[in-house]
Amino acid sequence: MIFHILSKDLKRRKTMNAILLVFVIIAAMFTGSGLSNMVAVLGGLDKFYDMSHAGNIMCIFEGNYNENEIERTLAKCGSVTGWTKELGYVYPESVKVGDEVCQTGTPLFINMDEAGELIFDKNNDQITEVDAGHIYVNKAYMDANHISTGETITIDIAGKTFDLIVDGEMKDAVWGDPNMISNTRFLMNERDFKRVKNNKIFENANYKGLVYYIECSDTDEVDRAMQDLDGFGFAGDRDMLKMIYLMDMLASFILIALSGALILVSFVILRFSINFTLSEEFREIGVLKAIGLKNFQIRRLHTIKYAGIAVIGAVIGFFAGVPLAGVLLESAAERMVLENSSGIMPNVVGSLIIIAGIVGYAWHCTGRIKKFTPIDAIRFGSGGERFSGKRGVRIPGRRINTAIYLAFNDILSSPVRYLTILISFCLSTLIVLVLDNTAATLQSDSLMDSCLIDGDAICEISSEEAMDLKRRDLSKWAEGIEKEFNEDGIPCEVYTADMTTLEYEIRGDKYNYLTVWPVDVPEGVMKFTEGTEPTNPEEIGLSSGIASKLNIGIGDTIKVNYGKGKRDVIITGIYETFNNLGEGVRLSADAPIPMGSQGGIGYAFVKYTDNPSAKTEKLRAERIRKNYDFEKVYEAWEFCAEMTGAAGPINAMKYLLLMIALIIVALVSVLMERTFIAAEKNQIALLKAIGFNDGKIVFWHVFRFATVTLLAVLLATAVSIPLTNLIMTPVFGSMGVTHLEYRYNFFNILLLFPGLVLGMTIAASFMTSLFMKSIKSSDMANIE
Amino acid sequence: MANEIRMENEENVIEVRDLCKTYITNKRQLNVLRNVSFDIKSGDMVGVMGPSGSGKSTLLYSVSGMDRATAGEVRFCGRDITKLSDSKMAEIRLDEMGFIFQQMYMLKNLTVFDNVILPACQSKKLHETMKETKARGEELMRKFGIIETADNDINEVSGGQLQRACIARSMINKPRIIFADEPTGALNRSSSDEVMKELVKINNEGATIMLVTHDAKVAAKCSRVLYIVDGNIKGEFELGKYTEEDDIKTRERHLNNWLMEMGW
Repeated sequence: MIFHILSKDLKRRKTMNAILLVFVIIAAMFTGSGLSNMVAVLGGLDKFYDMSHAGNIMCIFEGNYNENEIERTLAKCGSVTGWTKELGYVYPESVKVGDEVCQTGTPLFINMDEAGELIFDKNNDQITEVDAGHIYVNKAYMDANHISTGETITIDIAGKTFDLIVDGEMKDAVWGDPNMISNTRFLMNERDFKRVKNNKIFENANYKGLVYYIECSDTDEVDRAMQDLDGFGFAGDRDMLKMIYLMDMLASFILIALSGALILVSFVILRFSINFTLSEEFREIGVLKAIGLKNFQIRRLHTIKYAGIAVIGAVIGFFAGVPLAGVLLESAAERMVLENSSGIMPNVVGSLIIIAGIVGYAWHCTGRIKKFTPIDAIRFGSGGERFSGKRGVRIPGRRINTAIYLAFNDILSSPVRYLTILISFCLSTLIVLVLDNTAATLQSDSLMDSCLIDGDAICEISSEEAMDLKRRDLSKWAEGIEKEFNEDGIPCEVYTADMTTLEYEIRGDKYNYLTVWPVDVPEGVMKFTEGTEPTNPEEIGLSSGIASKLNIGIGDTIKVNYGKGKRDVIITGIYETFNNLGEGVRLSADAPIPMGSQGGIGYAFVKYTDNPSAKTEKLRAERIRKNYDFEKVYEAWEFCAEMTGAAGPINAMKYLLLMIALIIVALVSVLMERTFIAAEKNQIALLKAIGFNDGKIVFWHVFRFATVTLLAVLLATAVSIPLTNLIMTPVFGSMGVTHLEYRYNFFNILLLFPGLVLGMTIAASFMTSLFMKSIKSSDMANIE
Repeated sequence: MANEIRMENEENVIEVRDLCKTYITNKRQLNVLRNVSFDIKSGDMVGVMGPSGSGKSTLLYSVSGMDRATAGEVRFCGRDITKLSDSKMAEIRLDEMGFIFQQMYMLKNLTVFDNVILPACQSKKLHETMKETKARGEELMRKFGIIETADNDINEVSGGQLQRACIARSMINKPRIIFADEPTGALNRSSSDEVMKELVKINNEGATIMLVTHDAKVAAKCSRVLYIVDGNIKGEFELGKYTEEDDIKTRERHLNNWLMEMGW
């Protein structure tokens, strides 16, 4: 009997059931593959680090370090259980493809036979040797510098060159992304490594580095112990280093968020579908009650259908989700050694979540059955329409378009029904808008101060010039550029910032931090989230990352070694930075950094003094590019996009989600309109009978969708701004910046994306509404 | 009220010639109407009777243009409406025809009054302001004794009141003819009498009505009755105009006798 009723119902509501099934399939597919990807990436990263012998903390020593002392100290650390090490030589801009210098990532040349951290090929097999004249490079470096497998690259170190053939992509746990960690390991054959090592330039100890990968149970103990040692440059624990895979994790999170939105939309459709079915079967339910069926039995009858759809959808979603998870994993595994150790379990869990959610919610929605009585079934019509009939708005006192009046009246009469559309469309639009807002922020000058120092144009200088500047007066150099620009009709101030590693003593412990020494930076250009910028050598600014890690703040005194012994300085300001995973120090302009001790600068920052328009800024950047001999000239937004490197992937994901959102909108519109036509068959026939033509009735139906969609997209636009803040601030916060000014592409969020959603709704509802042409005015004869 | 319906005395409002309607179901041809011909003069109240499945409602829907005839001609005020487009036909139904259905169907989210005036809001025929339209709607509702239900939802009034509201809706655009498909079919005797009283009243005021019914008591109030069997008009009975003074029992008896002759 149950199966007879169900098969009849499935045939009667083919479109509604089919669309619900599609949503269940998509939701199950995304939930399963999103979970699978997240489990693989989050769990697999640790495994990758273990396989690579990358240790729990990596320490870099530069220049005049004492290897014996480092290892004695490590041996003394109780938590250390072992370590590996490797010697490397760094030389910027030393790789060329043809005549083009590879700009992204500075090579760190290492002997393959002495590598401390292991590498793997794209099949996840360990690379144990490299032929002479050949090299493996990580994928991110190859992509960033447009290098392909089999191509010949030229190593050019201070004029001495030799060629290497790129054998393929390697997976390098710690150094896998030059956009996030500035050096890229070049693991070479011993013969080639000797060619590098024997270059006279490397007699300068500044180009030499020793990297330790340390296994320990207490990274803080090792960090503190290493900071005291000569030549200490950097220490990063595994959690910090794993941040380079943030984008891979972000993709999983976005997929999970999308799945969540799809599940919500499925619930909304489910609720609509159940309410519609119950309204239609009002009389049958009353009769079933009259003959003695209990509420539970009737609810079970209705829930079974949705359980069936949930199971079928979840099973199809499961099978579709497994290859999707594979594709996602393959994409994430381009840079990582990832194995799907949990198998299909996340997909199974995803499908079970969907089934449980749909069945549970369907049961909840059928609760309305309890309110129906046999008397209601007899008293009211077969559709139960009089039972739920509500008044909307009265016909106004002046003539208006009747289709528009009827549309508004319907929305106001059945607000819950239209809320279904509003929620679905609002959610679908919101996902796209939040990503657009994030991409817009990443592609704006909003993050300029967090990337380094604020500026309107950023002129990158060549590595040769940067080396040369180590021995020159930076202030005079910046003044020279400023004078040239001003004489050339570009009213501006030019300043720069030296980046050097200085030694600090905080509560008796030594630390080495990458320090920004501003040269000629006008007051107020450097932003501080708390306090004020340092104005004399006795003051410094500290990044929020260090302040929170060491629990120090404004007013605290620490010691700094500017190069001529330690001196006390007071912390006057706290700032946020993306650099060095959120850790850094800012000095005052007159900090006594001795000539020749500079770490090196890479950029001249230009701040226009005449507050030009965006168009003028663009033209000026173009002029500087053409007329001056800089390596590269960026506008502020270009510099931020380049530094963060995340805008591109987020934009790509945004367009993918936009496509999914439009599909959701189209499906929901088709489902709802088909349902409305079925539910309002009598009203349509009546209107046709009394003289409303097809066009008017189509307009009435489409206008309802357009009105609700307009409200949905307006709501989505308004909510997207605080929601972006709510969602993305913790993400940016994990990278070291919490105080940031979000930027919005108002054309996109006010016009383009809402317009696309509105257009798709109108198109889908219009196409579906044409089905009402099959309803004839003479169908009035068949109304019961 | 008489001036609300256009009088075209002795002129044919409807002329039906050789009207055929055929349905094809499961590859079977079903001839529902077979060469039906008749006229309806202005001011007539024509009842259509016949056994179930004889084609009464199909005739009404084909004549009113709600359904397309398979063959034949239907002239409405001299104009063949079988050749008109759906859109043009909708326009004629809106402006020149009124409809009353068995189920008293109304738009559920509108009040009774808004349902009554909705066709007038859509029509441009009378060139009147909304204030005038509303005043006319109120006048009609008052005339049919349902003004107190104007602001009610449709589920708050009785079947008889609702059907009277449907009559008011059918008259709101001052149509040339009103088509009624079993207008009392869903009502009890008392409500049925109330509704027929109103229909007779407007007919006496000049309205032309074509009415389908299976109730001899209802048909007895018509001026003319067509008896249809198997898609053919088997006979026609002239009763003359019914007034309050007429003895309804006598009319019923005459009609019943004739119907018996027809095989009722």
